[in-house]
Amino acid sequence: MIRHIVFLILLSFSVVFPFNIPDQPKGRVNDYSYTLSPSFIDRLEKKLEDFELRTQNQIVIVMIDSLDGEDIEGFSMKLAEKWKIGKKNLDNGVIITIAMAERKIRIEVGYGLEERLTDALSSDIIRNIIAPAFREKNYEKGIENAVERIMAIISQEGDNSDDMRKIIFEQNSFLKYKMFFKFIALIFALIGIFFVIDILRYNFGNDKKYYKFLEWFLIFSITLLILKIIFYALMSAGRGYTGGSGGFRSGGGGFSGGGGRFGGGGASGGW
Amino acid sequence: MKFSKVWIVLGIIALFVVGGCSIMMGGYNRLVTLEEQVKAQWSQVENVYQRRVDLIPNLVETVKGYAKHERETLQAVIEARSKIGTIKFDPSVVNDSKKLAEFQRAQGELSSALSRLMVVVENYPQLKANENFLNLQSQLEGTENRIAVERKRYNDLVQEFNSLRRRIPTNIIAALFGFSEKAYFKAEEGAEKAPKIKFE
Repeated sequence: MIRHIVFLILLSFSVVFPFNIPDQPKGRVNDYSYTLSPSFIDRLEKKLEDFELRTQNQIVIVMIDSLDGEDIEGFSMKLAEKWKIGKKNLDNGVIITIAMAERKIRIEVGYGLEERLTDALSSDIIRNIIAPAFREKNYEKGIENAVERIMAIISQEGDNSDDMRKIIFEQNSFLKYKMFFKFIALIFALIGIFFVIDILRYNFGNDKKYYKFLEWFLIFSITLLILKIIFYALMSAGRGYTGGSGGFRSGGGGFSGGGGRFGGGGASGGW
Repeated sequence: MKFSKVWIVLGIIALFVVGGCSIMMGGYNRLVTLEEQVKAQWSQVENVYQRRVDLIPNLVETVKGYAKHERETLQAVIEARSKIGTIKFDPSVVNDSKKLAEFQRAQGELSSALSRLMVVVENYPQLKANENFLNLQSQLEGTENRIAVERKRYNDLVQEFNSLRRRIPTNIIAALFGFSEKAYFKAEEGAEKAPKIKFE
């Protein structure tokens, strides 16, 4: 009996908890398996950051110990949907996922890069660059060469980062203007309504005098307040009002995805 | 300040009317937005399926060159492909679960024909070493993965739409303006991968 209990306790310890994807990446290089040396991570991090500044394209590397039974495609897609690597509307992110125990590799390619980094090229990189190096336990070399190759492929023709910056800037300022105009329109509509009420009251009501400015202002602000409360109540009640974040790096060396979307393009492989 | 009672009552009524209208409008707009999203996602689903159909001629040609004795398997793929070509589908499929099931069945036949082909191919080491074939294979894998992703997204959106459609107060608006229920992709029978057993 006791032996059984001890066995069960031991068994419960041996169960590996599934890897939980953090809400935000650590950086561009996320080595949760502690395979890479810190100096290599720093160097690669710098390289990827320079590349992003130059081309806007985001490349992220994720290494984990084990997938715990999940297939790498599913895991990689979860990562992609959570971290949203790549810029919004450019969808120019690439995620290289490596699962050490299962010896699986996946290159997940954002919608915007599918034309350049095709499934065939991704597969080629896995089969002919990453896998051979990994078989010799040369993980850093494999990753570095793969990153070099991906950079060469996705920074090809049409790489005008000024244009991309302009697109992003225009999108953001357009959104801000839209909000602003909505607000202004609301205020004007209210003023109009009160004006009409005031005139109606004067013409058809009992008291033959227009509101004083102060009265008028009071009614206006109270109504605005009520509308605001209704609006916020509706907003917290109904979901789907959350706007996408602008998706710029939050300064101070922090890193996050920028709203890039993925559609399952890329390739999987192993070593 | 003189507020006559009539005006206060009128004001409150106006507020309720405006509030009610804005809730109605909000619900209506959300239904419209979601319906458009469902349709857009459907065209995304169709795109990735079409992508797979487009891959087949090349794939069949390449395999034919090496695996001459697999005529039956190849024929099944070609037939399944042409069957898909004959069925007409427009975006209204999203409103019709029967039509969607038909679409899914036709595509499912192609899926199983293709997976049989991929099993057969294992017997031809020369083909497996051919760079052209490897490229096609990776494209096919990529496309199957895209199909899985887009289909899941489609189903998620449909679920969101359908539950919004049945919830109070949007159900009233949905009935009023005739928003119909959207169709789901069903989980494919026997197509799910067998659970992998690991020995370490």
